Amino acid sequence: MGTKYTMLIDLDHCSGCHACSVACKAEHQVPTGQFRHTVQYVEAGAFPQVSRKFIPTLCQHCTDTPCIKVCAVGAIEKRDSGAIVINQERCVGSGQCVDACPYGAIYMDPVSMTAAKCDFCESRVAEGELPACAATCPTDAIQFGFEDDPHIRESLAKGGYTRWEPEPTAPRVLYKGLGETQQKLKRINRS
Amino acid sequence: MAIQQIPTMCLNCSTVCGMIAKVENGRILKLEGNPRDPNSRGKLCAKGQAAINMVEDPDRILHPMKRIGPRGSGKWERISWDQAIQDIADRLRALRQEERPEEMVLLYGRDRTNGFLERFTDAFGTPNKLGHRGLCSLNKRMAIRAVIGDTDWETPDFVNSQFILNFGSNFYEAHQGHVGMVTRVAEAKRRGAYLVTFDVRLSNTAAKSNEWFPIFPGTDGLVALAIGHVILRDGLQNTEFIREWTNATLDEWKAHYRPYTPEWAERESGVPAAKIEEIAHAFAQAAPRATTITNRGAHAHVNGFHNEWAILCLNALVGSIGKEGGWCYVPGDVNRSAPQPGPLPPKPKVKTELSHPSALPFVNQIYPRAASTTIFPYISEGKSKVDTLFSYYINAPMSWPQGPTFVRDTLLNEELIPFHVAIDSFYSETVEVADYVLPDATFLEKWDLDARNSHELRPYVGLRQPVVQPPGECRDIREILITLAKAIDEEMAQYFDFEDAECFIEKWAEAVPGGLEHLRKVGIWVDENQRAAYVPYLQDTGYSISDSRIEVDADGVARLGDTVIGKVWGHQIVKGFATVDRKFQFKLPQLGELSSGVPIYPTYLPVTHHQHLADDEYILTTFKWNVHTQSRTANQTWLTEIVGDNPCWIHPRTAERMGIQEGMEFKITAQNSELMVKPMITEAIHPKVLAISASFGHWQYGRTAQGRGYNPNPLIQSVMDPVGGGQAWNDTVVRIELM
Repeated sequence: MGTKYTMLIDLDHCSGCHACSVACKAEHQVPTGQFRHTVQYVEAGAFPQVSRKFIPTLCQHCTDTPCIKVCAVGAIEKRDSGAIVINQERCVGSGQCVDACPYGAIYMDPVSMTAAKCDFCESRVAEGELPACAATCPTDAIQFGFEDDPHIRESLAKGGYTRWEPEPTAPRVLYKGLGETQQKLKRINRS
Repeated sequence: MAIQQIPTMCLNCSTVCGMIAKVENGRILKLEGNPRDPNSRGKLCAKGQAAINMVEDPDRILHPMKRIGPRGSGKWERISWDQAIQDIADRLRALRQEERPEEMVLLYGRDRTNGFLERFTDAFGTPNKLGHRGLCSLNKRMAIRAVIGDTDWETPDFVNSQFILNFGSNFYEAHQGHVGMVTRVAEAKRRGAYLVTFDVRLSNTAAKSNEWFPIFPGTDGLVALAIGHVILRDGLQNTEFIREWTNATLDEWKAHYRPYTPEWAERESGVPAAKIEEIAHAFAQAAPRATTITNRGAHAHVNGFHNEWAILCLNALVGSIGKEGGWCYVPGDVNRSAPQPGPLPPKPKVKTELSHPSALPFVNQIYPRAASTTIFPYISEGKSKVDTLFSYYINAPMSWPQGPTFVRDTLLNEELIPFHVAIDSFYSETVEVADYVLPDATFLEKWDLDARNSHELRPYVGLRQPVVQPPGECRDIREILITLAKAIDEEMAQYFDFEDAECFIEKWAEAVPGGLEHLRKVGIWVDENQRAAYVPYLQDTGYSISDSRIEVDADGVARLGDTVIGKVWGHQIVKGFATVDRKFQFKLPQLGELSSGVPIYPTYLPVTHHQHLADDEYILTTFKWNVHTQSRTANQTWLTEIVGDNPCWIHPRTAERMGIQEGMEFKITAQNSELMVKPMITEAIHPKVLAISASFGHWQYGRTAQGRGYNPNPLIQSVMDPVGGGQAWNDTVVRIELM
């Protein structure tokens, strides 16, 4: 068991521009109306003390994985890196995982009729590239790497990172500045 | 077949970021940022990446068409390019033969041919190459050009800034240059820079700011003047800069600012006086690492020029102009850095009311051919006779004030506009009212050399090249104009002696080291030998003060014969600002000469019709989302699935008072027009303001765009700032009808 991937999303710098979501859309040819990645907006406060937070949401790559538990054919795999990946060959399209995911991160692809979701851009990362969302982020609000990479350690040392956990799934995606806003987050795809 | 990586430049908005297209078997797989672009540095926004949808839009126009039913009826027949060119050339030739070339008007939206359209209109002999600048940023550009002369667009050194004062720019979402700005502001913020935003609604830029002030529309200039008042009252100004580099004495500055108290500003703008004091001190303290940034929130008003001017003066007051972390600029026209291949046609001598409206003498002096608000009213009133209208990359019925109503009616009127040719890739609301339609290549299928003001403050040039071939019979605009010019007559043809667009670009790119061949591989060339253009006004001219041929006047202005060469500064002759006395203009005496009684200092001119609003009267503002442009992105699925509607932003108190509930349409009226809209009830807007975004309300533009949301423009009258000439988008007083 080597070191694990983590994604750090700094909400102090995310500006809600959706570049990440569209990069994901193009990279994975995600069908219209379904999302591997989407940015949610949450407004709070009363005029003129109003705030708006932007929260990029995607598969949280949980340590404790409701999707794996529910898949009867063992099509969802946890890589050594901690990335959760759907094996398209093995998926029979039962849709169990779609409902089981507390984040709504999984959708059924209307062509292949199999489940699909963020795989931490496995094919890009294999080529030494960053995941599409992180690569294009204009404010560098999305960082990706192994937990013991210097840039990840440095960011984590500054503190403030917490998890989005409607259920205790121990995600590998961490947010800075999420706080109470997590109560307002919605499922990424409708179930 | 291997995946090709082809560098090109985006044009899904006017920021023109460098991009790399991943292409396989003639199909674009993905668009990514080009790390060589000095502005975007490898990043690409949502719009840029979604441009694939534009190329693959199933409703593109694929071949030339000629109208067969009444104008606007939607009845067309397909014709050949040869016939289209011949018919149009016959019409145009006659105008030249009859010596009335000025009756040809070329209306363009996004001319990134950087000179080719003008080559065509110049060669033809018409001054009427008219754009949308007057709807976009004219008041701002007028102020910058009048005050410093060197350019019309600032390039604040955000990355080194400590205090950024934003009046009405939404650069986190739109704004020309936004990607390069956002990356640098984010970097500066990580190092502790403070961002303050004045805006009538909580834009995403306001949301990312340390403080947001929901300012009352059209009062930005007053707040800026009050900040200046505090700076001068408390002695926080940069006296040396004022003395050496502005065209007024410190006493003149002080006397002018004295009445503009923070208390007055608070009464009009709603920004607390105590906050104005605080901001003034923080801004001055951070100087020279302090800068302003502005856009339509500040200037799209009848008092827009003065608002911009007042804001610009804050940078002069604290001496941050041209300084590291301050209000910087790139001198000259960045798009003219590579000379155009000759021979170039002479400039037409004739002027028309469309090119030089006599109502706008100051605009004609500083920024001719840039007014837009006047175009359709003047055509309608017969102030300028039009025979042939070319519409290129523009969608006036959609995006002009009164676009869907008055503008569309004018375009439908065959007496006012007898012949209308539209060049477009999509079946736009302009194409709907054309007589001939020529299918344009999209920006991913065409050639340009392009650039923007560099945030690295040094020149660069990028290449836009076809990453896929245009579909059907679509053609690059340059090829359309080359063919047309050759078909019109010999005299025009001599300026268009190019085989095709690529040949033209190849010749043009000879001015760039490595030429076209190198650009095709890397996309961007940056002049690494140039130093960053800090304090360009202090640049040595190379002339010696002891040169006996040089005359220096009492103001220190140095002349060689009749030519002003610079200004004496210490023992040098430096460039100074490109103004008459080589100084930053705190006063513009020519304003008083052009029109008596007009203020010659930056002044707060209250918007008259905002002074006594009734309870049911509100001020309408428009804006852009981060995933859309004004009128050209609603057909792009990946964007429209993120934002595909534009309900009207309305404050909960306002909604409650007017009996408006979520999900239920309500009626907004203005003068003779009305609009039914859905509300978006939000705390994030000033209670006296309603906001409806642009981008929606298409009645054409293909199946993805059509029928979504609302077009606010019927409510917005053609009204402009009489000084700056810019459209007053954000002044419209509207009524809500009680439910």
